[in-house]
Amino acid sequence: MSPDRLALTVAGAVTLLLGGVCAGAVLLVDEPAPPEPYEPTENVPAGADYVGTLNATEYRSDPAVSNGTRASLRFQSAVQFYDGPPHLRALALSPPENASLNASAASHVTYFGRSGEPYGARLVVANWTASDATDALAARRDIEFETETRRGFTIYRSERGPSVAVLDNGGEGGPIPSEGPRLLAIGNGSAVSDAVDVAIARSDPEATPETVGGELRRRYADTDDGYVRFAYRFRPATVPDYPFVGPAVRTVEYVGTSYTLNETAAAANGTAPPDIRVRIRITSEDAESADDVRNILGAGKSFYLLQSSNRTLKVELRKAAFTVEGRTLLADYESSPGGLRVLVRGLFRNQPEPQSLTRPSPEIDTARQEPA
Amino acid sequence: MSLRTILRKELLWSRHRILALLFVLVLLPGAFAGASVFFQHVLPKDAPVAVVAGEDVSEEEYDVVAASFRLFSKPIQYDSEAAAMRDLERESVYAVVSVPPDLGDPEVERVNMTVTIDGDMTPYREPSQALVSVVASTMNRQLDKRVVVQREIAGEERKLSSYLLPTFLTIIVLTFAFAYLPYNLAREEAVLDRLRVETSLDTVVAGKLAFFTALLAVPLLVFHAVGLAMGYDVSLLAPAAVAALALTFLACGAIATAVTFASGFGTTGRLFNVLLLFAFLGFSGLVYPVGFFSPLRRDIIRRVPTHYAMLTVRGASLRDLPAAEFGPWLGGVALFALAMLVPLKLSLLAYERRA
Repeated sequence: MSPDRLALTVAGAVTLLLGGVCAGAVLLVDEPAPPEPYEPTENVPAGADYVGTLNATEYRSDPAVSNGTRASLRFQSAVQFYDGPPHLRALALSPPENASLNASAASHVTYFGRSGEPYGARLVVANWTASDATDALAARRDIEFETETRRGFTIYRSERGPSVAVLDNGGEGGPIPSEGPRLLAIGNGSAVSDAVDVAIARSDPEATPETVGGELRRRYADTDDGYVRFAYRFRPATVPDYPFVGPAVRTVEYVGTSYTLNETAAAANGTAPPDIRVRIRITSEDAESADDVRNILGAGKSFYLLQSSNRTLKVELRKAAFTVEGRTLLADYESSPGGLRVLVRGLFRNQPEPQSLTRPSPEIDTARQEPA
Repeated sequence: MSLRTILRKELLWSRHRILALLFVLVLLPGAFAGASVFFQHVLPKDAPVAVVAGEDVSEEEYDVVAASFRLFSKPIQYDSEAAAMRDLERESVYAVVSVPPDLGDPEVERVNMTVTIDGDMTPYREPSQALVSVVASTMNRQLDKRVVVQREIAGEERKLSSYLLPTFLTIIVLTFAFAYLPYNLAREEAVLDRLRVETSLDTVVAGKLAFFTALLAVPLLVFHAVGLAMGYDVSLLAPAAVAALALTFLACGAIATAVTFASGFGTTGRLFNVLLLFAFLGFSGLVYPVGFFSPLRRDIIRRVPTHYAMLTVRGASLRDLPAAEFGPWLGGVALFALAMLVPLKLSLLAYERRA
C-alpha cells in the first residue's frame, strides 16, 4: 500500500471513529432523562393544612392490607384529631361499579386540603383521561360538568360537586394529555383551581410555584418512607377539650403518620403475611404537652388491654409504644394486616373521651361526603 | 443647691455603689423574673398519688387505674396500703387508691373504688374533688361496668387558717435568720474588734447564734398561744417541730452570718441575704405542698433541706406524729446545719485576715 493510500485509510478510519463517537454522544444526549421520583408535595398548593400520599400499588398488593389501611386512615378523624378527607370514596380505591374506570391504573394518590373546610382535593397518578374521571363521578352521582380553560389547562367544573383537571401527562409535563400516566386533580373547585395554578407555574421555567412548604412539608418528610404518609397542621378549633389536660392538648401543632410493611422472615418465606408498622408523630407546643398526649394514648392502650379478650391483639397491644422525644410523641404499632384495623381503631376508641367531643355540623359532614 | 447639682451628686453616689446597684437593679429583678418559670399550673397536675395493687390485682387492672389517674396526677405503685397511708401522712403522696381486684372481671357489673386524702392537707381538698370526678367519668365511659369512685378524707377536715399556722411560723424563722440576724450583726460591727481582744470571733458568733436560736422560743410561744386562743388543733410545741425549727434557724443563720462577714457587713451582703431569704421561701414548699408545683420546681424543692424541715413541722404539729417518724429528715437538716458551719468558718477566717 502506497504511503498516500495508507494515510487515506488511516484518515478514513479516524473519521469513522470520530463520527461514531459523535453519533453516540448525540444519541445519549437525546435520550430523555429518567423520570424523577414522584414527589407529591411539589404539586400541592400552599395553604394546605394536611398533605398525605397513598402508594396505591403497594396498597393493592394485599386485600387485608387495604382493609387495614382504609380503616387506619380514618382512625384519627374518629377522635377528631383532624378533619380528614373522605378517603373511602376515592375513585382510586373504590370506583363506582358501573364506571368504566381502571382503578388499578392509579399508582399514587396525594391528599391535601384545609382542616374544617370543604377545601380539599386529591392528586391521582393514573392512566386516566379527564373524561374517565368525570364519567366515573357522574356515574356515582348525577352531575354535569362545564369546562373552563386556563393557560392551556382544562378544568371540568360541576355546580355542586367536584372539579377535575389534568395537571400533567406524566412524561414530559404540560397541559396536553398523552398516553401514559397522568396527574389528575379531583376535588373541591377551589382546591383544583389552586392545583392548576401550581401546574401552570411549574410549566413556566421563570415562575416559582406556590406549593406547600415550611413546617408542614418538613413534617410530611419526617413521616419516613411508608406506603401511606400523612401530615397535618393542627387547628385549635378541632382539638377535643380533655378535662384538665385540654389546654395542653390544644397546643398540638402537627401530626404525621406513616405505614410501612415489615417483611418478616416468615413473610419472606410466604408462610405469613407481612406486618404493618404504623408510626405516628404528634408534635405539640412543648414537652409537657407531648407528655399529656402520651398519657391519653397510653390510657387508650390500658383500657383496651383490660377489655379485650383477643389474645393475638393483646400481644400486639403490649408491643405498642409511646415515646416522647422533645415535643414530639412517637406512637409505634405493629400488627398483622388483618389485625391492624382492630388494633388502631380500638386504641383510639378506648381513649378517654374528651368533654367537648361533639358531632360535626351537618354542613361540614355533607362537604366531607362529597364524592371525588 | 440646684437640682442639677443634686442629680450630679446622685450620679457620683451611684458610681461609688455600683455593686449594690447592680445587685438591686439587675440580679434581684433577674432572679425574680427567672423564678416565674417554676410556676406552670394553677391546679396541681402532677401530684403523686399512691395506687395500691394487691396480690390479687392483675397488671392490666393496675394499668387501667393508673392510666385514669395519670391524666391529672402522677400515679406511683404501692404494694401495701399501710405503706401508702404512711407516705400520705408524710406528704410523699397526696391521695391513696386501691385497685379493685374485680375490675377486670367481665361478670362483675359494678365495682367500688375509694380515693383517700389526708384531712390535714387542706390545699389538696378541692383539687382532689376534681381528680375523683375526672377518674370516675373516664372509667365509666371507657369500661363496660359501673365504677363508683368515692372520696374519703382521713382524719378531720382542717381549716386553711389552722393549716397555715406552722407555715407562717417557719416563714418567721427564715426571716429572723436572713433579715434580723444580719441586721443585728451589722449594728455590732464596731464592738466585734473589742470583743476579740478577750475571746475568739468563733465564740462570739457561736454565742450569737445560740442566743438567737433560744430567742425563737418567744415567737414559738406566741404562735402556740394564738393557736390555742383560736381553737386550732395544732401542736407547735411538739419536740420534732421545735427541733426542726431550731435546726432550720441554725442552718440559715450560719449562711446569713457567713454572707455578712464575707461582704464585710456591707449592703451587698444584706441584699444577698434578702435574695437567699426569697429563695428559701420559694423553694421550701412552705405554703403549698410540693405536688402542686411544676416538675422542675418540684425536683428542686425535693433537694432543699428546709423543705423537709417544713414537712416535719407540719407533720408533727398538725398530725401529732411521733418524733421518730421524722428521724431521717431531722438528721438531714442537722447535717445541713453542720455543713453550713464550714462556709461560716471560712468567712470568719477571711474577715480576721482582712482585719
